Amino acid sequence: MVSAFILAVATSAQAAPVVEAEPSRLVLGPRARAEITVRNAGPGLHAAVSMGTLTDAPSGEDFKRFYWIPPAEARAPALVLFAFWTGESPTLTDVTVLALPCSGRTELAIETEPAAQVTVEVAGARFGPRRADRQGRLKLPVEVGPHAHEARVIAELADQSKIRVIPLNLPPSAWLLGLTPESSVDGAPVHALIVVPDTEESAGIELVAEGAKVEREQEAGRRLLFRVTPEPGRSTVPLVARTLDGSVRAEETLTVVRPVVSAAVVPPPPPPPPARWVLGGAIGGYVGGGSNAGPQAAFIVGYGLRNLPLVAELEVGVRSQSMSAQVGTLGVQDSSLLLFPIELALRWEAISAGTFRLGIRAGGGILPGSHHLSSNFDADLSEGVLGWEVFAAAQAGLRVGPVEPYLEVRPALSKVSTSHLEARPGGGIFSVGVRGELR
Amino acid sequence: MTRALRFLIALCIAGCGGATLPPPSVVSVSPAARPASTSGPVTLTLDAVLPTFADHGSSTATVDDRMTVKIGPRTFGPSRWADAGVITDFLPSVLPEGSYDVTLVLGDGRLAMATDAFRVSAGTWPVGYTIDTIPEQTSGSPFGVTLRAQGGQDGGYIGTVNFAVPGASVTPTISGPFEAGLRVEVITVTVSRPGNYHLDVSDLGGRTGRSLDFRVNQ
Repeated sequence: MVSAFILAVATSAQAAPVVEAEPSRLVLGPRARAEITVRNAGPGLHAAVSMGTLTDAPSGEDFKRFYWIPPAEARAPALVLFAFWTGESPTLTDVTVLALPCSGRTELAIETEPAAQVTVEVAGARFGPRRADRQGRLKLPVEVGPHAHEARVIAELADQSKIRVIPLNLPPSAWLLGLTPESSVDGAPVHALIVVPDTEESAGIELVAEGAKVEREQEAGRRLLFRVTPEPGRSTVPLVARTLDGSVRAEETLTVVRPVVSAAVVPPPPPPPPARWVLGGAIGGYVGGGSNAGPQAAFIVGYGLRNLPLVAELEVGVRSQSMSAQVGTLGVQDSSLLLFPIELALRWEAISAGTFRLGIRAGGGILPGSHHLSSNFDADLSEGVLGWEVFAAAQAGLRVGPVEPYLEVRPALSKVSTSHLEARPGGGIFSVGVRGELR
Repeated sequence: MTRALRFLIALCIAGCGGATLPPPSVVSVSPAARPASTSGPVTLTLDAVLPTFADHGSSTATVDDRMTVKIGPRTFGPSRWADAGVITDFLPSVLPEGSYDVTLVLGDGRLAMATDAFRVSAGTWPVGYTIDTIPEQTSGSPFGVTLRAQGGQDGGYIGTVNFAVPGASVTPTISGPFEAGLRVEVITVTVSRPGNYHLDVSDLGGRTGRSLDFRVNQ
């Protein structure tokens, strides 16, 4: 058993995870699999791998375990790189990199002396001996690791031996290209981590992005950290890690996700109002043309309907108006009108924004009261009167603690008429009021 | 609640059509009595709510101030309400002894009657009247005549007399009040043809007087 191959970098203030692989090397094949165990990792552990698939495995309280499975078709030797870190904005010192050498199994075709005893050495491992046939041909199964560069073929025949060196042209191992966070939220920059295996022979490392700005943030040996900022309007950004001669070693696609605007911007609708009693009062005046003008006041009792922004209101008020007129040579005639309006209204709480309230009212009712005639030339007269009124109104108020002061403008159509009087005690009614709710 | 409803219904019944105006009244008659042979001012104090309509839209008020006042059969005072219902007018000595109702009829037909509010007692009448000579006159032109009551009450006659010019018309038909038995009256005689005429005076007690003939030209 070979000890675990851990490539932990210098620690920073935040300790990097400790990673180990079991087995520490393996031969690629249909049953190839490794367990990767991560310790000393805080919450928000991220992982990236240069090849194959990492899946969650049963973990403990103090460690996190993954299964790594190579691609089914992978047979060529490769140095597989794993990277682990915590958080969304790591530095290179926060990243732990583990390299897992994966060997490939192949048959080496050898041509040597007839009937020679052949042994093959690849990166220190010996395969054979096996005897060549009468033509000197032989096929010998060998395992080639990612660091192998050549195979030494040792042919022994009687009292002599020959050694030949066969160069091995292995495909380059894939680079690790990881993104953190894995996607860009509304075009926000992300970090791209590149780890280059030590088997890489081509010079140079570059990260090319289509539709994004790439800035190199940090570099330590064969590890680099880039900052990738998608251009506005991009939904995806293809990323390619390659050598300076243009050989692509890793590819990744950055996805740009858009936040759901409606959920973020639109505040939740206010809860439907409960049933409530409303008490209020208002004072003001009215102007209806001529002598149809005077002070007015009202007391309002309302009942707010459950789950509806509507308040049914009973309004009891008082209004007063009077006039004096010269009548020929007789003298001066006075006429005064005192009314006690009793009206029903429906108020719609149309807008409620913060402390501001805007309401619309409509209603009508009766105008009972008394009319008094007096002069300096005949006797006084008092009579009961009964008029009517219909109105619409707009209210604007500010919620101040438990009460709501408000202003009301009320166009009203009203009439009080007898054989001695014609009056329209409405017109434009202006009020300043305050009300409170009882729940 | 029921009480309030009743109040509203009552108010509606009372108020929708307007109040029915109260009847007028004759508050006082001054003097309330006098001898038949005297004349002079009589003051009636009336109380009424005149028919009034106040229009608050135009800030105007209209009042129906028409009225008719009578003492007995005789029309008294102005035909329109005045002086806050205190009516003073001259009442000649044309009412015989007796008691008379004072009536007031307003423009909307409301009526006030003070039964037997004015009493007339038996008077002391002169024994006759003399008329100073009347010079030649022109028809339709006013001229003065001097009337003298003969005998009668202490201090002289203070009543009135009726005028008549046979064959012609004369205005006024009743004289003003005598003072200490003397009355200078301005009259107008209108004739249809020139000629000689005379003036007759008479009182309620049946005493008379006649002037000498005087010529009236056209």
